[in-house]
Amino acid sequence: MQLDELGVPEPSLAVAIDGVSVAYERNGRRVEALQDITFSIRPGQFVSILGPSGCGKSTLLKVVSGSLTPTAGRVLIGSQTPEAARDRQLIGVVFQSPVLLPWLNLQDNVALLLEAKGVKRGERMALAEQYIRLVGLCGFERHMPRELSGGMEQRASIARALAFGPSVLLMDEPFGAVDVMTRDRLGFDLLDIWRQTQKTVLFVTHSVHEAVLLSDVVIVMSARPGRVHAVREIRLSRPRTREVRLQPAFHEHLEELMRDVEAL
Amino acid sequence: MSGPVANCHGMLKRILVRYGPPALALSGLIAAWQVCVVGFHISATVLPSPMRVVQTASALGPLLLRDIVVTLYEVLTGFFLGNVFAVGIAYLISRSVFVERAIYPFLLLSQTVPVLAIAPLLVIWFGTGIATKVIVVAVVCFFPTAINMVEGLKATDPDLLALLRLATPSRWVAFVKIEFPNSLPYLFAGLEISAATAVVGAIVGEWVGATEGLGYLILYGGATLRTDLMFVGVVTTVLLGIALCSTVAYVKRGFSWTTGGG
Repeated sequence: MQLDELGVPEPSLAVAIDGVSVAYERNGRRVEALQDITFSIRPGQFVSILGPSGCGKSTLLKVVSGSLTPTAGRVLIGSQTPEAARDRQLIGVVFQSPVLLPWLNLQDNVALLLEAKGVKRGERMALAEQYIRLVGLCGFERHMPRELSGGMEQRASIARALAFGPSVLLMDEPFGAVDVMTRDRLGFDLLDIWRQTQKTVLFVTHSVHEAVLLSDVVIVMSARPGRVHAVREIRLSRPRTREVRLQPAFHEHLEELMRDVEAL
Repeated sequence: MSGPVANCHGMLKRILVRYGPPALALSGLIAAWQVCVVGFHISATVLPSPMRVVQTASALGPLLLRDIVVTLYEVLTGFFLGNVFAVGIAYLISRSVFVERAIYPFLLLSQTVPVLAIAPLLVIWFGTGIATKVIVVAVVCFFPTAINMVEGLKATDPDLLALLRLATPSRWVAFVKIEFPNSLPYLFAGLEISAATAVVGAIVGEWVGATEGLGYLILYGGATLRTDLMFVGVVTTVLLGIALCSTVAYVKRGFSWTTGGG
């Protein structure tokens, strides 16, 4: 018996990026930001995009989140176009800057997208509280953003993205602006959150270390035009703890990716 | 517990440090003025003494109060209308590139039109009643608020708008939840400037034709060589302007992100 006949969808892809190119005109010259990008992400997978600045990582996230239409190729979120997926609120985004609203307290900030979506106050406050607990900010609900550290602000922006209930989480160098010590902690905490929520994550970074530590698959991109240079599967056991960094396999992956990056 | 007492002392000290020097300078100036007028036997028509000005003001009593009320009414009405209009125009400009291109140059141009020159024209159109004064006030309030508000609405982080777009396509929600509150610091910067010019606008409006108000009092004093009346009018106008500006500044402090507290 076919799975389809039971009404159970085939385990399909969470994100399929197929031959995506983005080009635009600048000062009369044609600039290619992305050229023929093809890769896919299975549901619940953690995929990182690793590349130098100018490789079009942010452009690619814009295409996947439905705010930019590619010049060629197509993207599917599940079985839908990015625009449709966005309108069904299946996409969550975390930016490098936490962009919290300074006039709202933490809980109201986390509930912002739910409020915009029209979720009733009681329900959205409960959801916000649940996700604030998940990201480890319990007890800071009434704090204003200026009273939070950079790392805490970024946790808040992760809570805000998750509370809103997307199935795909796009993260654009979310830990790029926090100090190295905080960065490692945030990484491990993100893995915890990811394990508990089972979201599909597309994570942009330019840290080789971070990419190996977090990902199932690392897509190495080259710049000008942005192209897929290599696709590396990271075969490290889950859940990953700090000890994973002591494994020889960790260092082999690190070496391999370093070589990829150097070859760009 | 010495906390509250220490706090009280601290506040007193801060007030003294901040307002002490200008208060001292002002008192010195007034005292010197009084001494000069009395010492050099200066005629009250040329320069009335501060005492004389205060005496004239208290003699006027309810008449002065009526002038204050009239001018204040013109100022507040014009301030309100001009600023509401400014925010509305700023909203339209921020919503549409076409509207921005069509209107913005004229917005800048409007600032070069001298209010004093168009005031007589407004009298021809709207008469010597209160409408003319309110319109003059509204016109001078409009520009600083509109310019600042346009800046403020454009200053929204595009990431924030992209984020909200994930939850709703509604531009109105984006305006109410993000763009408008985000632009409040800019709005208040504009309001502070327009509060100061609003009072000047009302006086100008009264000068081209009025039978009451502080501007009329100044004009009347000039025409009848009652210099003391002119001084009463000018000083009261200044106090009114300070009161309005301080009120705006006080309300502004309620929006703490204004001072970049982040």
